[in-house]
Parts: sequence; structure tokens; C-alpha cells
Amino acid sequence: MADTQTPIISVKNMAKSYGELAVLRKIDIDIYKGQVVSVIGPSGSGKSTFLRCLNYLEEITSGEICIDGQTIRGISEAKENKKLNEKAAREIRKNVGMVFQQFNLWPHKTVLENVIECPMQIKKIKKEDAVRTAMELLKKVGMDGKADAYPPQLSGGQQQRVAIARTLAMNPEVILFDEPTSALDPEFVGEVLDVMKGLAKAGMTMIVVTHEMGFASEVSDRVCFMDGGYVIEDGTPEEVFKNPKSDRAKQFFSKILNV
Amino acid sequence: MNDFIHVASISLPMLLQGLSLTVEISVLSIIFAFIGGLLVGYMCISPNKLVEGIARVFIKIFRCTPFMVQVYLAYYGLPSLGINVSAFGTGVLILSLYTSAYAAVILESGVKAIPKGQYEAAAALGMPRLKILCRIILPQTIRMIVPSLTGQFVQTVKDSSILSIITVAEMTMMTKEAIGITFSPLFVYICAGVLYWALNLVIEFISGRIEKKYNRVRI
Repeated sequence: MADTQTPIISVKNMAKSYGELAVLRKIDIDIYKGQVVSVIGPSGSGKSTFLRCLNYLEEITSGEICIDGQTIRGISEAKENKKLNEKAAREIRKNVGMVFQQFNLWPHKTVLENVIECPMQIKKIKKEDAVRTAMELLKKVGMDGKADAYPPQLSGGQQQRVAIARTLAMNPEVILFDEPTSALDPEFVGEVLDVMKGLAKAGMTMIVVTHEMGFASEVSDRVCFMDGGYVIEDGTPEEVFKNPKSDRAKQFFSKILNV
Repeated sequence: MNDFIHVASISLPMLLQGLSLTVEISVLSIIFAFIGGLLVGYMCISPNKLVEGIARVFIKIFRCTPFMVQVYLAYYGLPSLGINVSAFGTGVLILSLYTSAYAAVILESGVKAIPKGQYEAAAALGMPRLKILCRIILPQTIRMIVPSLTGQFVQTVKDSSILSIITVAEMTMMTKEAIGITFSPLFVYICAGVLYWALNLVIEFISGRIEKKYNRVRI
């Protein structure tokens, strides 16, 4: 993660508001290939919104996001941006996967069908090849034994591991994790974090919105602390957790780290 | 007893003849209404406000006027517009449109009941909108709305009886004619009622099978 290379994601001056309510005020951040970035902060600080803007699940009001040469621009700046953004988003989504808090597996399809759906439908990969890749990925996340099960028959941890495999099947360069363990029973958190640690070790670029401070400090290269629509701390886990510059971060850590 | 056999021997063939037309009208209308409902329902969830508006007006017109008025309007209105369709054609057309307005609303409410995350997961993987609707949203919607759609289609069979007012020789019209010949309204109406009931049992049976097939896994 040499800082000299060009960032894979570059966010400039990004702001997002819902009518009067400003959720993101001004975000500037560069993320480089292979980085594991944890985004932490109190509820309502804009963490999830920030993540959802990156692959255009939310429109941005102003500023811009550059990913892989594609640019998403604020819709308040020019009328035609909406159309252009949609086009850029289609390209961006090919390289940027997302894992959701609620897994969002498709309940009418089996585990295997969930994983092969997009490779077959979007990349037009032949079924036998898609199935072979899918089984390898399911094995990687420890779910190859449940290939024919339907999502509602699985535990939350199992569903989330399948959801990760489904994302990996599209061979993304970056994966966005939106509170991937927050909806899980405590006993299943570990298995999902283990899969994520494996991905981080293998060099995947990851942006993880999380409340798992253990994961943030152990696995990530970089921690961003958000509050009130700004990134107010950005540094190595060591810097951010041990020596936060802002009072807001100090106060937040004192509440959650000393329980 | 001889009277009874006499009445039955005259009226039943007439009723069965009417029944076959009722089945024909119902099946055609249900198929067209399903397709029409998909189309209008799709327009209802369109991001384009104009497209959505057209669908809403369509639904309002067909849901908020009596079916009998619509039937008469089509029967007298179409020829005055220079469109000459048989009474049968007019009947199927108006029944299809009427039912598709209801089917569209059922579909739309079904789509809206699917958690947003289902759409987002597919979108985030790069699936285009139409594909998401067809492969992810619609299959989940259909299994959820089978019972309400069945109710609507059973209603379609019953509503087809109103087409008797525009000379479509379906079962209700044949019932009236059989009564005119036999002067046994009670018996003939009982027979007609039983036949409608049997026809709708078939629809409910088919719908039950579809529901069972889809609900192997409860979601």
C-alpha cells in the first residue's frame, strides 16, 4: 500500500443530504489497492451512507467519487449527472462488491443458485464453470456442504458467509462491508470475521463499516472515525485508538473500550 | 319426476353450452389480465412519473366505475368509435382490462412488500433493473400474491356473468333462456350456481398446486 500509487477509490468533497438533513457534510478520502479500511463511529454518523454512496446505492448531493476511472458526481451540480452516474455505477459495480448487514440472500434460490446467479446472468459464464467456481468459493467460506440448502434454513453466520461467497463470485477488486456482523448472534460473529480476515490476508481491498473494534484494530491497515458527517480521525489503528486527536473520538472510545 | 327429467334434459345441455363459453371467456380474460396486470404493475413502479401517472389513471378508471357500466360503455362506445368487435370480443376485452387493474394493484403491493435489500443486493452485484425485477423480485412476489390473485380470478369468472347483458351467450344468459323455456327458475339457477362453483373449485385447485410447488421452502 505504497501511498505513491494512484488510489483505487478517491472521494473528493462528497456531501449527501436528504432534503434538509445533511448526513455527509464533507468527505475527502483516498483508498489504495490492498488496504483494509475500517470505518467506525457512533450511530447516525453517516458510516453506512458513506459506504452506500460508493457503489451508488445512494446518490450524492455534491462532490465526486472516482473509482477505477469512473466518476460519480453530485446530482445537485448538473442535471445530466444522474444519467451519467447511472452509467458509471454500472461499471463501478462490476468491480466493487458489497456485503450487507441483513445478508440479503435471495430466499427463493438455493445457496449455489445465489452464488452462480450473477456470474451466469451478467458475465454470461457457462453453468458448469460458474458452478465449479461457486463450489470453490463456498468451500473457502466453509459452506460447500450447504450448497443445496435455501437461505432461510441457515443461521445468520452461515447466510453471511454465503453472501460473501456470492460477492466473491463476481471477482471484485474492492468489497464494501456494511456492518457485516451486526445482525448476527454473538456465537456466529467469529466465523464471519474469520472469513473476512482470510480475505484481508489474501490482499483484498476492503472497506468495513463495523462496531467490532477488535477486528478494526487487529485486521485493518487504517481506521476512519466518523462523526456528524465528517471523517474526523483517519490513521493506523494504533494512531486512532491509542492517540485520537479529537475529543469526540476520545469520548467514544472511552465509552466502548473500557466496558 | 317426469317433469324434473324433462326440465333437466332441456336446460342442462343449454347450461353446458353456456359453460363452455364462460370457460373460454374466463381463461382468455385471466391470461390477458395477468399480462396486463404485469404491464400496468410495472408502470406503477416506474421511476418515470408520467408512466406511473398513466398507470394510476388506468387503475382509477377501471376500479372506480361499476363493471356493468364499463360493459355497456364498451358495447355501445366501441362501434361509435368505428371499432367493430363482436360481443364476445368486447366482453373479453373489457373483462381483461377490468381484472388487470386489480391484478396490477395486487402485484404492486406484492413488489413493495419485498425487502429493499433484495433489490439492492442484486443491484450492487451489477444486475440491471429489468433483470432484477424478473429474476429476483417477481418470483418472490408471485408466490406471495398467489392467494390474492386467485381471489381476483375467481371474481373474474363470476363477473363474466355480467356479459350476458350484451348478448354474450355465456352461462348466465343460457340460464335465463333455459328458464324462459322450462319455467323452472329455481332448478335452473341451482344448476347454474353449482356449475359456477365447480368451475371456481378448479381454479382454486390449480392455485393450490401452484402455491404448494412454490412453498417447498417457507420464506
